[in-house]
Amino acid sequence: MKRRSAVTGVFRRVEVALVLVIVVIGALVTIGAPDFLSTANLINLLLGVVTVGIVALGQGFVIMSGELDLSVAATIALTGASAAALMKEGVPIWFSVVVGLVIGSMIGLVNAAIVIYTGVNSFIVTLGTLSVVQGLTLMVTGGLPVAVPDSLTVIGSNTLIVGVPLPVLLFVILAIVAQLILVFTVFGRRVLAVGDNAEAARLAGIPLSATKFAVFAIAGGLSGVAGIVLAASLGTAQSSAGTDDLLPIIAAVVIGGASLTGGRGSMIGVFLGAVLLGMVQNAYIILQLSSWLQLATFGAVVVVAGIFDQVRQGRIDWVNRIRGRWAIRRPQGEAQRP
Amino acid sequence: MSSSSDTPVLRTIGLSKSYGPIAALSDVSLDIAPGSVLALLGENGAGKSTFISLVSGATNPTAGQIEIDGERVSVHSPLEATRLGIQVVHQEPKLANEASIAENIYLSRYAGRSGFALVDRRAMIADATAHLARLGLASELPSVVTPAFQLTAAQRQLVAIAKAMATEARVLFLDEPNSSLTPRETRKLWDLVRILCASGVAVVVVSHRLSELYEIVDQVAVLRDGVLVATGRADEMPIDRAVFLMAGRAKVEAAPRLAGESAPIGEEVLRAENIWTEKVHGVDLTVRAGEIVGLVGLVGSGRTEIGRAICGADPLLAGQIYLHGRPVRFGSPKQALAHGVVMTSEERRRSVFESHDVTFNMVASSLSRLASRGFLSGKRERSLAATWVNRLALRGTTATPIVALSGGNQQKALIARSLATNPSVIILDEPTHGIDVRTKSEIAALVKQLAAEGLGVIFISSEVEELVGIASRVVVIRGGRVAQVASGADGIGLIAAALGEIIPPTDIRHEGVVR
Repeated sequence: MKRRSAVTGVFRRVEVALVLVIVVIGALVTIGAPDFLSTANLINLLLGVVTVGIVALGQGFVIMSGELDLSVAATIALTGASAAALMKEGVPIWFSVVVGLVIGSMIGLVNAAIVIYTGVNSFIVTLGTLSVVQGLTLMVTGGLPVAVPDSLTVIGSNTLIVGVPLPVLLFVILAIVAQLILVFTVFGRRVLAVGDNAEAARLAGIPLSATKFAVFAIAGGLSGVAGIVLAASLGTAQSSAGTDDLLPIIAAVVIGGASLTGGRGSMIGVFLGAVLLGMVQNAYIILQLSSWLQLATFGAVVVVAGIFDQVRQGRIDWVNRIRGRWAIRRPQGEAQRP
Repeated sequence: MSSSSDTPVLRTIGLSKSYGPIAALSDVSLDIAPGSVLALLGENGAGKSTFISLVSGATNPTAGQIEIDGERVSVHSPLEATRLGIQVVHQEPKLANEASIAENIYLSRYAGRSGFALVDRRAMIADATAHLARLGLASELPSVVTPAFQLTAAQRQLVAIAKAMATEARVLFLDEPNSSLTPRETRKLWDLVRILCASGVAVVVVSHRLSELYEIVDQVAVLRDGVLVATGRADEMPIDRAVFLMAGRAKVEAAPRLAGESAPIGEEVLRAENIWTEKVHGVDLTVRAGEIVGLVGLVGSGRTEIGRAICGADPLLAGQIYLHGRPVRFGSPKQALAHGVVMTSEERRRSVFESHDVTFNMVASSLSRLASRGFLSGKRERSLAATWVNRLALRGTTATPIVALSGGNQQKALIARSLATNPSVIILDEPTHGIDVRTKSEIAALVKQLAAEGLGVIFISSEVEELVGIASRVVVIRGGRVAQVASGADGIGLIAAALGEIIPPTDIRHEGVVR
């Protein structure tokens, strides 16, 4: 038996499958619209997933720790709007950005505090704070878009580094860093342990509360990053930013192979999940198909990913039976099922 | 119940089940006579559960036949098994917790009906009461309208059996029915089994507690590695012979009861003084280096909670813990761990990280030590895990998914998680619960060896017998207090005989009673 840790084991399976799916869909779309593979379109595709992708990385930590944070979708708008409003008041840009990020993290910490000290399910807590944060955003903006100064747009999509827009580069770097943190640091290991079995993790000496505070703070902070980058790219901070992003954020994490009950997942998977979702969206535009169908396909991808995950874990009885019969038919094979 | 006495009620012919190339059960032919009790013995992974799930329709055999009353049947689903009169009661019976005893017993009445049918509550209560009276359980259970979550483990077991019998079961499988019961509760259970047998029901019992099991069985069947190695009458196959057959070699002879030379007991490592938590009411406890202190008591007596209080898992309401004579206060298991106090908790199913491999599970408590600047080294993790895989003779590698291991080996991995932290005191909560005899003696031998190396051990158990020969002192816990302390093999043996009986505190020889 070859030696490998479970973390890299997961890495090998989900990501490879996702890359294959992406290649196959990409090839199919290219047949219908050769323009799909043009640099301009690919960059467009990636730009489209930056917001969802960055927030999904944070959500990834939360989900892998066994919780869920719905409020991140609203934090995108609040952080962008707060930073923009401060800039408009003449506050230095760097400081406004820092304040935006701090606000994002604070929202995460508040979520964490409620979840940890009251034990209320994080789905309920963050469903509530989602609405609270939306309300705060409207108070800050009055429902109107807030223009951001031109100097902020240097971190927006118009800045190219070796031909790649800065936000895309930022997303790629964040994804790599997140994966490194997850796999190679004590913190990453704690997240997976807490998500797998919180009580066991606590008895094993893993700081439960600190870990949960950290994942929620990261999720909020990364929403802040996404919100500010989005505002910089658009030139304005919209109070409605991120409203439609909740489903794709969670979907990207799940498509990326994370278990919704926690304990398992990969950040490269989250990255690829976000890219896959962006590709479906992009394909509909480039193939000029109905945008109504696009929404339906989008949802179907999420459901299929969920089913795929169940199959992979051997949790569907009738699939197991088929596999079992298959394995019996070739007994010399290496198909071992524990 | 009309079968003649020489036709077995259930017969399997060449029953086999394999998963790919792995044979879980091969060619098992077994006759089960009506009105008899059969003990199905074997170590973990010997095929007992596979046999039960094949006969009860939970899985389908790859080869072989099942006959009921001499007629061949196909048991392809649990529903079919129920129809044929085959019922299984599992170790921790699944009852609808919010539903009453009566509702649980007649849950199957809801199964075949339209969802719109009305429930005749009054008739159900009357039927359930009569049914329980027939089984001689009327005095054992509270009123039939009591919700299931209020029942003790023993009562749940009885309700589950009553539920099985409500469907006219002919063959009843009891999977580890007595593993969390006291001797007295077990005797009640055996009384019920006798009543069932008298009415012609065949009962098949799986249990690791052989001495209790032998009080009731007529026939014994021993499985090893999926093969039926022996069958016979219980009086012709004494326990030691059965254990020998289960293990398949004389390895069991190395059991800890033979005891090695006791290590010299060193200085006091840990002392708890008058500690209180919600379930612990003023307990004193001392552990010296190289000493194994047995902590025994019934489920719910507070023995686990004492361990949890000491290792910082539950908040201490009052009292003081001293480590090497110095007062310490553990706000969390993490702080206790930093001071060298670690606990391995009771239910391994609740303690493993099931999505992960052996390495992940073993190093979980040693992360900070393995990391430099917060970064982990896969190599160091694996080498630490490999050390413990070898030392504990774990049947698996460092990369084996933890769920692919048997219960006993998962327990070993959990003990390794604690030991890998280099503790000075380890609290083991029921480390041998539901584990086969061989692994049990391996774990006991390990504990003894660790103590010899100077570790202080608190060994929590509900089977006092296993502490004879390994513990230097046994503390009996009842109602969150120390009820009795005994040392030496004789004293511990006495406790073994008395445990589980409701003895008024005044009747006990007080040696270390507090409050």
